[in-house]
Amino acid sequence: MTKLLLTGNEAIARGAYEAGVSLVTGYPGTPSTEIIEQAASYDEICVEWAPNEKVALEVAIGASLAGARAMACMKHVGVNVAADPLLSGAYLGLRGGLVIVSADDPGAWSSQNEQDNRNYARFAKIPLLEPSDSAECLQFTRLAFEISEQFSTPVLVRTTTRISHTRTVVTTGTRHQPNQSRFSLDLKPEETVMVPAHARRRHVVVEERLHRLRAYAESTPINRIEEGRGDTGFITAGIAYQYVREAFPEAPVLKLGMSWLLPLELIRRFASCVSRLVVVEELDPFIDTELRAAGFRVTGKDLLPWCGELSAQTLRSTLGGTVQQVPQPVQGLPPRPPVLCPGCPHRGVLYLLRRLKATVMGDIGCYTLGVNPPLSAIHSCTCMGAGIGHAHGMVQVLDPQLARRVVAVIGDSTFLHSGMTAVLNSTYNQAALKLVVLDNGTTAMTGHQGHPGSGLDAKGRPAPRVAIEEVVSALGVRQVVVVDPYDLDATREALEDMLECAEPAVVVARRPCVLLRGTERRPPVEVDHHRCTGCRACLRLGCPALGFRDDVAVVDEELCNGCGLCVQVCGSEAMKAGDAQW
Amino acid sequence: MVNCVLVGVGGQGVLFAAKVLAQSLLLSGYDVKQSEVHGMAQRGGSVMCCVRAGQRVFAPVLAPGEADLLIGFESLEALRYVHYVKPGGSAIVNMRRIPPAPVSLGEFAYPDDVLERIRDRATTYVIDAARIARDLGEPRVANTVVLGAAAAFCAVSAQACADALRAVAKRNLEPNLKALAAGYEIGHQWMIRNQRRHPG
Repeated sequence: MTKLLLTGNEAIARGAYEAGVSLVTGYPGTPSTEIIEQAASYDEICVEWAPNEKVALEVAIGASLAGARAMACMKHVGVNVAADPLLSGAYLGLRGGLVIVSADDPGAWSSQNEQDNRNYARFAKIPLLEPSDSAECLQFTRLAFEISEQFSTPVLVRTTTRISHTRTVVTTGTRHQPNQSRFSLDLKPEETVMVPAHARRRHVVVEERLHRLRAYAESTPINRIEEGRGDTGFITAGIAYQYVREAFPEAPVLKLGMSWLLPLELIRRFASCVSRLVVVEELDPFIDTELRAAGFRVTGKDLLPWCGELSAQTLRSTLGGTVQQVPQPVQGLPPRPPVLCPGCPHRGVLYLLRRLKATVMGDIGCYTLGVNPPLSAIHSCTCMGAGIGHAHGMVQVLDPQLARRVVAVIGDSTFLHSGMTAVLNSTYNQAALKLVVLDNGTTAMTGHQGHPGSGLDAKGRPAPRVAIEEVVSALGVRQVVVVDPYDLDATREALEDMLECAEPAVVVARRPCVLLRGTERRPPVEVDHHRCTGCRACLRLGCPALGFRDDVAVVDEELCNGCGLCVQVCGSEAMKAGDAQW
Repeated sequence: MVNCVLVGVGGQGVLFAAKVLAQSLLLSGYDVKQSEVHGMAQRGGSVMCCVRAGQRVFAPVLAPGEADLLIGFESLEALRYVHYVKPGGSAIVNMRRIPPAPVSLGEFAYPDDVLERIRDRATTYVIDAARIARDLGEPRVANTVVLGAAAAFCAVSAQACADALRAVAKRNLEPNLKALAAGYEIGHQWMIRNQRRHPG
């Protein structure tokens, strides 16, 4: 029993550990990533990075069918990738507890959308637990495994950024050892082989399970009434509970730890004690709509925002608390958008693609930041792996003059996640796809997690390393070149050759992420202020270490990693690498 | 209640500082919540996180006008978030100026009067953390100097702070401990001077 300050993610990993989980897997994605990283610190658990979320969930289902407790973790959009095994896996006769963690991102702090994954619980007909702090992350994860085994159902644990990435006080317990005598290959085909005849019968089982789960929701202690003063009663769950407590400390609250299925009898009892019922939830009207459909008179999304995060201040101003005057931010300040790091190996490629007037179908990763000026080099970003398909579709409908400007750009981790099948599509359907794989040897944006091309597994041990140029060759691409993106001349030549090619062509731009531990960092670049003509050509690289003062370029020595791109683009030889002679 | 907002530029170590501050408050016996944002928001962009402590803390995030203390690791970012400080609150601001991309590109000027404008809205303490760290012979731990000065304002002892740093820091412990102690002493002196000026 130790008191620790843990993030929600760390607490979920701890809860799974204490619940006796045997296998934890997932794909990195903000705000879910640290669950796997924390789980990897426990020697007793098999912890893996999967190439994508679909594989992760299928692996976890396999472990469950063998009788072990298993957990698959992903960000909200990752559940879209895993939706196929999720919706059909919900029909299977599971054996070991199966928990899926979805970390949603209201506010889209690091995401391409704000989807509300509580909807997946209703869609897949599985129970949903929503912790409100790290202590509940631990407790609910343990409970999720018990519910899963009691009802033979996958259980969805849903967090949001403010739960995942907030440290709160947690008391830890001990590990419940998995009962390995229950692990076996005793599969019942009528429960595990979803041919139509079985699936029809299993659907009935799923619907009956929902009835039993609703009864469970009525009695579970994680759905609780907190008595208070006043006529307005709040129904809430997850992070919204904390904002309600902050804004209306005296009010009666029905806190739902299990927010699907809803305990309608408990809600009825609560409603009878107050004159006004207010549902407080972020994003979609999930509880709100259900309660209206069940005939309750509620206030909720008619007043509260549907987009972005809630706050105690929002609740006070919309629901009638004490509103103080809110100070306004200082106007007219220079913005500070996120940027590619100094020395980022992606910079040179994006800079050249812009110079070559390419239209770039981008993807999910750090290189998306190349959308901002001055690089302004990215023209689409939809979802993991999408850019290659987008480029193919454009090439197939445009006339050849326009089509030759279309380039797909994808990172190594994203390519291995879901880019490979799109390349196969292009070779099979014979489109002249142009693809640059930015191979920095890691999943960089989420904080340097391993992947099948990184040479490291989830526990940091050496792992077999797949070479991307060999993968694309095997997929049928004949024109494949590997370049060092710090060498601008060589990279430009490779890109120009690729653009001229009449068949699928791939450039792998390979250099490790400059932030990876062990990556070479060179001494900062020096500027000869007498030679600098003030032409600002170097500033087109968008490097945070480069600035302009008194009409000449300046290098911030603390930030510069000495990549030397500015030395190469300078037309007046005013810059030199820190270890070179003038 | 202790309500702090920590702001700076992604990569400066703002999250690390928040983690140490939160841990020191836990060791001092408080309920604590510390919130942060990862991923794309972090890459060289504007970073803000909150540390709250008290008998019981609910919301993990502070709204404008709710912070007792703003801890700015970079001057422009301190000005950007100064409206989070409540009336009568304080700001500890590092003199470090990191020009954002639009300034380097010449689209915006880095304002000359950042510190004055912060002073207009909060009782402000300016620290030249880079110089102090250099004087200690440890130029890489300037941000820990800022953290130390701020901790002195947050009802935690120098000892609790050092213990928290030991629990959180994975590398460079000794230089960080030196910087923390030096910063704490500066913050402590500010506190004493402030109390003399406003007794009771």
